[in-house]
Amino acid sequence: MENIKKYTTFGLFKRFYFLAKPYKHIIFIFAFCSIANTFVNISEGYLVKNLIDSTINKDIGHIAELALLMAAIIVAGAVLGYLMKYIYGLFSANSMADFRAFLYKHLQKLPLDCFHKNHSGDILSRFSNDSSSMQNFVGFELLNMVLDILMILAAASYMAIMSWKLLLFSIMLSPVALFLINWMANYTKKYSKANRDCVGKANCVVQDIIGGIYMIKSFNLHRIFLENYKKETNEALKCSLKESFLNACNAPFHVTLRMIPTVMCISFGAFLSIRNEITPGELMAFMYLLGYVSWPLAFLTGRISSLKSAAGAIERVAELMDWKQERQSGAEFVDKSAAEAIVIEDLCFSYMEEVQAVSKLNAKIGKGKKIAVVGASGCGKSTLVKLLSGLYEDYEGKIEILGHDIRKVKLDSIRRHISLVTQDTYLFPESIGENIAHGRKDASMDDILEAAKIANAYEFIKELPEGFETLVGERGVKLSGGQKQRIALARAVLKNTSIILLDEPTSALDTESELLVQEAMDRVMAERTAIIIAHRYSTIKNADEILVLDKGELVERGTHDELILRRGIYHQLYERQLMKQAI
Amino acid sequence: MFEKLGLKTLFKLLRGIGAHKLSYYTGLFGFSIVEASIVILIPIIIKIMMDAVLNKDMAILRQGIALAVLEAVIASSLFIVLIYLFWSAVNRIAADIKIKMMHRVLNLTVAYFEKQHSGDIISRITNDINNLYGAATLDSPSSIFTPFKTCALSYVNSTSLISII
Repeated sequence: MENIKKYTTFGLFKRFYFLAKPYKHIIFIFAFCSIANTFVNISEGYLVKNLIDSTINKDIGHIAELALLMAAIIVAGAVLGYLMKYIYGLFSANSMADFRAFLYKHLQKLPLDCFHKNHSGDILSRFSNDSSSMQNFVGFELLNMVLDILMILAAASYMAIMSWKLLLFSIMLSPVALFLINWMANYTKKYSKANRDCVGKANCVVQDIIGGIYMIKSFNLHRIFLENYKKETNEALKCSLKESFLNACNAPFHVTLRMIPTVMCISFGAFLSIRNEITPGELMAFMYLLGYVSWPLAFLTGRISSLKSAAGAIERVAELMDWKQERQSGAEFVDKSAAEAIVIEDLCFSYMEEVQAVSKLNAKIGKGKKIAVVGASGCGKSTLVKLLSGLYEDYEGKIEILGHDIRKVKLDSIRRHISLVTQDTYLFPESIGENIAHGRKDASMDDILEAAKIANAYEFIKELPEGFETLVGERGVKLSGGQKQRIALARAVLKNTSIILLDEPTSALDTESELLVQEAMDRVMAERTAIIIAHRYSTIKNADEILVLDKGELVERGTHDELILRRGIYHQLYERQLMKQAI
Repeated sequence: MFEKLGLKTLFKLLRGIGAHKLSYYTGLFGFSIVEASIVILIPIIIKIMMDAVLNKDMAILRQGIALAVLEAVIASSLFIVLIYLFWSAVNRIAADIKIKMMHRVLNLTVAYFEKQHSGDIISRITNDINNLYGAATLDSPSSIFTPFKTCALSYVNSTSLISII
């Protein structure tokens, strides 16, 4: 992820080719209609030529014939035009729906550290703003680009047959203008990418504001955050202004492309016609067809600019797609009669190169045992829990869960055997019942009710006017900390795994809530292998074994009484808490 | 009735143009007029040239060429200024609206954030403002003169054809 791949515009097309692949048949029909439509348009030029010459020669019979033919061709053109737009709409809507689904799946497969290294606002910006820009490009600009190229090729071929001299003279300045516009579009792309990066940063500020609104209000941080937002918005504005300036500088080239070919064609054509080298009919047909060359050429440059501009957005989406996903491979988890529930061998892990979060950790945890992990803040307790859940994989050493090396089995199958309850419980903005049901999708209402009872949640849920149907609000804002934790425990009960990891679930609770959650935890841990991280010794005391971590290393292990007698780090931590309680 | 037509929203949007009124309207109307003049002048030039063809007159041909060159030079120069005026105003308006909106968001009650999903609020500040940006550009500044151009073009085309016949 650190090495961001750079894409050329063609490279980007190649990267997104997979979106078009399933719709080959639609693209084929579209291509057929486009070619037919091009043929119809060119035929109009041929008819104009004959119509004008017949008019000058006063050949009334031929005029009527040509007029009928012209009407038929116009109808055919309208039908083909409708078909093309419909078919292309079908393609763009389907491929973009696939793309959104793909991106959504991809996001879910990203490893946890990806979300640590990138701001969620930036990820959201790539997912929504940038992919919308891409959708606009695919849905509109790309279609016209393809049609324009086809038209230019077909019309220019027919015009060359009529008079190659006139064609060359008419469009002799176009390649120069095209080159210059394309050259400037590279700068547009640069500023477009910079603009989108700034918009991404501004969206990060938006995300911080919305997420931290309580903090912002209580600490009066409005001005600071508004200033941050202004700064990022103004940075984006600077890039937009540069982009606008470059687009404005392109204007003379656009005029060259749109107006000059027509003027040169009619001037030189009139000259040739006065010298009787071409008929007036041919000149008018030429003028008619020139519209199919010079106008698409003029718009083509605009579209090249749009392409380069969209490329900035598409590149950001491509970067998101290139972020390395979590490992999807591995064997399925099969129940083994392993002696130990968890085996940790020489486990080393670091977030940053020089600082070891976990260092040479060895532990064997028997089935049904309750293990407490203690240590000062930042000693690696929560990291250990994340490593056991398979959330990080770039560690050294080995972790075995129920006899399986977690690097060799599929991550989702390992996670099916582990329940995790964290300090910062996330509840989805759904009903309480739905939140509990996330533990097991096929759970019945009775199962949910039973899980809520075990987790000490039933009593407060039934007091609510809508019971299990009560909506908890975003992140469960309508519930207290203790209520949220009990719902999280109910979710874990419903999941019914043999291993449960509890990462300080009572740390942010008041004494009354802590007692209720503690009681629930004791019931949840019964007959399960449990690893519990807690800072309150009332929770730790009854563990079968206590692991004491210090700066990522395992420094002491034993029961509460053994560790107290040893008078080491555990003893110090214990004494400190007793003193705090006394104060 | 205004509400039904969405005109109230449009007026609200136009009020948001605020300090950038001059550059926005100069860019919008100026660009449209120049754009329309090109579309009208080209058929006129074609008509002059066809007259030269039918009358085999080189002097008329030269007149037509001079008119075309003059129009190209004037239009090119004006376009640079007008397009920049228009787009820079649109970008500034969008930035102003974003900042104003953020100011409003920061002053909303906590109850609002509890009722609304953060994704919805974020979407209003990011995606919906982009849609507003699209509305401010009216797709393309020239679009407001499209009906006028079409009428003028039809007239010039018909007279041009009549002169040939």
